[in-house]
Amino acid sequence: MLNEVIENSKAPQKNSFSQRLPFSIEKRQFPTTGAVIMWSIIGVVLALIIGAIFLLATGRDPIEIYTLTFSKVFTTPYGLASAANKATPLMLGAAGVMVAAKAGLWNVGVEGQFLVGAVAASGVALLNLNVPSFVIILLMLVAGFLGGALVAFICALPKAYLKVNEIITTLLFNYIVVLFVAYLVHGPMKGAGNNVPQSAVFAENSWLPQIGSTGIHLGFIIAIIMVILFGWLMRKSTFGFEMRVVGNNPKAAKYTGISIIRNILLVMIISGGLAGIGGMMEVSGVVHRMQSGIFTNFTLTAFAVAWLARLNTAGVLVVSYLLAGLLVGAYVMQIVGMPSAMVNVLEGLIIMLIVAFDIVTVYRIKWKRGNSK
Amino acid sequence: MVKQNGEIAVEMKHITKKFGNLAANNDINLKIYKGQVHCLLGENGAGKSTLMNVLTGLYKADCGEIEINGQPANIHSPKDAIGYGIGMVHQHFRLVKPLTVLENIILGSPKVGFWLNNKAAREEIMELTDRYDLHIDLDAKVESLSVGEQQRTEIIKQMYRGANIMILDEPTAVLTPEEAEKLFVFLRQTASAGKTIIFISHKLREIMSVGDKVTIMRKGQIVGAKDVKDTSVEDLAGLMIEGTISEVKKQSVEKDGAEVLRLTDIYTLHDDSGNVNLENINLCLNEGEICGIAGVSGNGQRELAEVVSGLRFCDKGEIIVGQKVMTNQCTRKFIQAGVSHIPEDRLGTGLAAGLSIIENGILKEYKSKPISVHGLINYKVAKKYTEEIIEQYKVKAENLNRPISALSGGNLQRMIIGREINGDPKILVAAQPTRGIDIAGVKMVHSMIFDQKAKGVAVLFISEDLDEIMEVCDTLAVMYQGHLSQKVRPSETTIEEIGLRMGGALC
Amino acid sequence: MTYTLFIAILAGGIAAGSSILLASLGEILSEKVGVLNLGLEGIMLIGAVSGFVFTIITNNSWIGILMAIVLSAVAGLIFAVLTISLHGNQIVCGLAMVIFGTGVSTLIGNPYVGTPVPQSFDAVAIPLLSKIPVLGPVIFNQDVLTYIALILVFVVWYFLFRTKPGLHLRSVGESPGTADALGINVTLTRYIYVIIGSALVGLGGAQLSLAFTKVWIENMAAGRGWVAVAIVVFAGWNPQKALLGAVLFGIVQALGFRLQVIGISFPPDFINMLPYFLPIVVLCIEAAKTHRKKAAGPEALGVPYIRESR
Repeated sequence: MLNEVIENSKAPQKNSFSQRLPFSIEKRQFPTTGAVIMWSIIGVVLALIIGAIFLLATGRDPIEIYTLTFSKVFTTPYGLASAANKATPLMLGAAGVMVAAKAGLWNVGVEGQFLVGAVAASGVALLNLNVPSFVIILLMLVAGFLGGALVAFICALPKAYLKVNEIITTLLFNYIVVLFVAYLVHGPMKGAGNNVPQSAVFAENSWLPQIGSTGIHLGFIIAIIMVILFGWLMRKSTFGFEMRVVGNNPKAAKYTGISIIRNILLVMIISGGLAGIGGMMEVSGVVHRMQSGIFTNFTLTAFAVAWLARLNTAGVLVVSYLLAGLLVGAYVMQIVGMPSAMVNVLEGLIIMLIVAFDIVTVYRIKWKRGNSK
Repeated sequence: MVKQNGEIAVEMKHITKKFGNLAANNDINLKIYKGQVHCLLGENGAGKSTLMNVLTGLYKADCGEIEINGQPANIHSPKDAIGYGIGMVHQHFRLVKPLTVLENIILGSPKVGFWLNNKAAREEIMELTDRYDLHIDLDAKVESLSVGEQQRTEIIKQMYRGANIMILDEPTAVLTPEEAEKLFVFLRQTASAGKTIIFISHKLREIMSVGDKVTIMRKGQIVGAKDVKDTSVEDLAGLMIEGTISEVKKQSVEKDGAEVLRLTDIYTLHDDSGNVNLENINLCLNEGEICGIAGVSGNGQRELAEVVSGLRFCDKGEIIVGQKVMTNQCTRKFIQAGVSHIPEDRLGTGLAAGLSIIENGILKEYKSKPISVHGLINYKVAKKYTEEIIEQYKVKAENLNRPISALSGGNLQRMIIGREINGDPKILVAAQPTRGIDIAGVKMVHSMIFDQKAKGVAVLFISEDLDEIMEVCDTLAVMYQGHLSQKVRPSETTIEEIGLRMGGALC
Repeated sequence: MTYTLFIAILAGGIAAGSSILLASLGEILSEKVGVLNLGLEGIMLIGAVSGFVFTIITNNSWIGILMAIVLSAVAGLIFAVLTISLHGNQIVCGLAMVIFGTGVSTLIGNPYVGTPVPQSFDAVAIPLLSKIPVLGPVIFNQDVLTYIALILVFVVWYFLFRTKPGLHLRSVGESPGTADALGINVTLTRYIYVIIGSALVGLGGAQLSLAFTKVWIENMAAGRGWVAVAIVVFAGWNPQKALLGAVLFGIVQALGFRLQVIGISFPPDFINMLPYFLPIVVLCIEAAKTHRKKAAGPEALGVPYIRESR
């Protein structure tokens, strides 16, 4: 009894309270993968609940919309294939964001890079070259990469040499490129005898082939391979190592003789190039012509994928497929009243909730066993 | 002269403060009398600053009580401490650099009204600066002031805010001997005017010349309390470091090896980013020589280290490493030529905190052969390489794939020193290698450096601590405002002469 | 003819720039206190849609304005909780806010596309002052929200540099540790100005939908939030220079519009690109000028403040 009083007077107050609880909360230095995944799922579920409230508030039936979306996309072959096609450019764009982020750069210009990649690939396709299909597609891939890389490179120059914030330059370039594409499809690229602002349909030898009868185009596989390849190179190669040192601590990079300028330029070329290939795949695999608005809010969605995946290669693949499914679902469900903007709302909510939960992922609950003295 | 048992200004009872498992303060009891200069003596990491941060409400003690002027005091925030008349001048000044002196002084003071155009405040401050002879331009921006003037701003700020109990944390570390002397006069004067001064230091001579009472701390505990007039330097030194010293013998073999580094007439480029410009630097180092660079920090030592390790371009002059002219070559060339560099800001410059321990271990070697082949890093080899460093230099690390930020300060220190030495350098640039570590760590660093000397490595040893330089180095030179004095042997000079050079009084 | 065109372009420039000006002022408050809010684009859209929708519902544009301010302040509060209290990455949270704002404004505004606003803010000529040649028609014949924006430039400047709370705000943004040690509540100060800043951004959005276009268009901020972020950097965190930047942006936009009206045959898409090119070019020039110098931004910008870290 007396001992207890002394104990309590010595210990700080919060301890005496927490000592009575049947569990204690301990802080780890690093969160475990399990904790991260668990809290991510809780974040997604919470976001869906808040999203449901939004839907209710705007006079829609959330349960109907959610279940129908899910069943229309993830239980039908058509839905699954559409999601795969939609995920193709998305995972490349997200990989672009991820690669740049590993080097400490925020490439939020993947939409512009994606569009210029698409334009460059379209340019090749519209030449109607008389060569085998795989040569044209290869040329289109190269053109897409170079197109995207060019835009990213333009934004990387002021960053590398003048330390101009790349977030502002890459983002503003999205708007510039959107207007540029509008100019092209209204003018020089407009298909002959066509009143709609879009290019002529590509010749079939510049279409990415379908995989069997799945309805999924070959780009899906190529994209997965590229994302894995570049994720692996960032981890295992010396150039990836250099980029990560630059991203983590530019002073340390300078100290070990790694060129910061060279690595900024190089990583942005890769990042933009990946997004550009995404553009090529969208026009060559799905749209088969160039037009405006082939993927609205591409930057925001790709950014969301990269951060929900926590800049992890496998995560990018999974999350881009799931978000693509959601986008396809929203498109299908527009009749029922699920506007595609709902996907943006959910993306924003999920990121915010996951950021909020980050602070708790490092804690773990440890249950006390019985009343052992 | 010394008021023996006057009023008690501050009494701290049973203060304990833990960081994780480490008790930075363990059951501290302390009485401080009014109108005295009370010194807190101890090595770095002894817990002095922590104790004072508890007193000023910046840290919350895990347990213990504080009484101010005999009344129990509840200090939970800096605001409370100010209310009790406690003010602290931190080692790193708490000043907002882009603001003016006046703005800094009135910042957060309840005496100032909503509008800043405040004549009353200005007059009160002028009156204060006149009374204590602390003149300063009130409208100058703090970032344009010298270190001594910034400290003065800090002191005026505390007085304006009504501090009767003023804590100064290592106030002379940034001052020249001359400036320090001025500060001591001011402190004695202020104390005799009835204010209480708590003076934190690890320099024994300072304490003997300025203090009334001294409390000695070691490893978070109080190990002694004395009247200054009843004690001696030897006495205090014994208390402060008792049992922690294991003497390292310096090899006194001084054969003149071949020359490995020569700097001729080095000037660095003019820029506006706050760097000191080196002017007319001449220095040569021989194999197996430890050359100390003394000086108050911020006089160009960092810039010198950067020039020698290839991180900073020169405007004029020539650098020869070994036999090769290396002027304005890229950093990698310097690394390949065998220049290793323990940077001043170890975590900020020498390591990438978010990368793994292995990746930090190979930071200098990631491009060389067994570690990387055909542009791909072999992580098995890399792991082995890092394990060697960890074993040899006793770095405590559990999982090598974890980010290096998981290591504690001392282990980071050992890791970076180990890595830099492991590459078999020809020249080792060690910038403040012992700053901020405990005495056992200091001894370990010294013995590592002696090992290198024995292997024939030339060491450029930069330190603010003159005693350390005198103890460790074969030769030494002093930096002052970008100039470097001639190299001499410790036996050919005196502490006084070096002190004058550090203050720019001798050129 | 050229005189009227000149006046029209300048007056149009101020009207077009006023939403960006309000957003820049909001961002200056937020960044000066040390919080980088990149969610401007999203918060502007939230302000624009809520101002518009509540004006239609209540038939009172002042209630619309009030709701725009309140709801964008709520968005600011959410951002503040994430970044200040939970130490979330400010860039990620800002972009999440853009994504959320884009989505939620489209969702809410969807049924109102094409609906005219019943009560809008039209240009009000100020007696006497509007008769001054050049200055009169350019400055004193604007909508009320633009007048508010112009007045706020001086209010914000005076507040920042001439008042005690302004001094506290700046010290928290430059050196939170110092401010804390002096008894200034860092967390509370940051909350206050992030929220007020967001409210100003939302007001800018409302100016866009209720005074500038007077209709609801999906994604109608069209990058203005990002331009505002760029202007803050260009302006060196100074309200007066932000006014200059915003008006410059507005003039370039108005110029494009006028050139199309008088039938200059240049692809309009290229003229429309100019407002987005301009900030990039200006930032590069500014950066080239101050190259090698320390950046002029608040020292603690983007860094969460955690007290017991050593």
